[in-house]
Amino acid sequence: MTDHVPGENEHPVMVMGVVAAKVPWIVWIGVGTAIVLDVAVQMAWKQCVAGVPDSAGFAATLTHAATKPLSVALAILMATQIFNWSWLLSRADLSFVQPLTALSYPITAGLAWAAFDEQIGALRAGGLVLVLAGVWLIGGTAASTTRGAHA
Amino acid sequence: MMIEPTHLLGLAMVVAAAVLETAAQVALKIGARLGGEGPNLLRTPTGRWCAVIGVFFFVVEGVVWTIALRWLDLSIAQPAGSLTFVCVALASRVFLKERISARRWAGIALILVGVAAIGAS
Repeated sequence: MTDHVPGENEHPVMVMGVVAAKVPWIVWIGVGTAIVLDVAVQMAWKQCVAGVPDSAGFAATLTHAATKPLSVALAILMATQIFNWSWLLSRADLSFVQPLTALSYPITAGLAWAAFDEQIGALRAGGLVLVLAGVWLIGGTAASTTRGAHA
Repeated sequence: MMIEPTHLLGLAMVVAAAVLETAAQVALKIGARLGGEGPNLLRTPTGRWCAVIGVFFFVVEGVVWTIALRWLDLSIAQPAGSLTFVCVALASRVFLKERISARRWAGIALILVGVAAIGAS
């Protein structure tokens, strides 16, 4: 189903009877890093805005967050996130890597289940399976379909 | 079920956030292409402008998303926000000339339904 001629580092493979382009492992590392950084930024942001009243405006929320020691780590994490993402975009299609960030849903759910024994209902479990199936389908397509990227 | 005006405004904010994130992603992708292989977004003047525009759109998106969450439950905002996957795919096709196969579209569709189910749970 893919419409891409594999490049030097990109050979087609057979997965469950479906011919799929092999995505360079370094792209998967970039995607994994992006997801880890995204989760870290969200956790740091949540810590920075903890204790802000619901009635506070956006400026007040930002000011409160900036006074927290963790805000320095948050800024570094965000800069690293942009750095990693631009590196990833130089190697793969935007339409390839962006949907793969949906992997953060099953990863977060898995961590919450393992660390906090959080229960996963049938509907959520079904949703997580669909997200994984979608990622699997996209992961089987060519990482790059334009000449601008270097996958 | 009664739809309140704030809900409609909240949904409009979610759509605006999806468009802003799409614009940010396209700007970063254009900058990344110009810089060549590796994290060289800042190598060329145009790349630097793309980085500035991209980060600016991300910041505005954060503000808009925060406003949306004031008016909408996360269970509605999260699935509606997955509209970003479609916007980014369409923009990648139109502006970046990426070839999106039927398999990739199918994957995006499954993710959309999956996120909707997660939001509804």
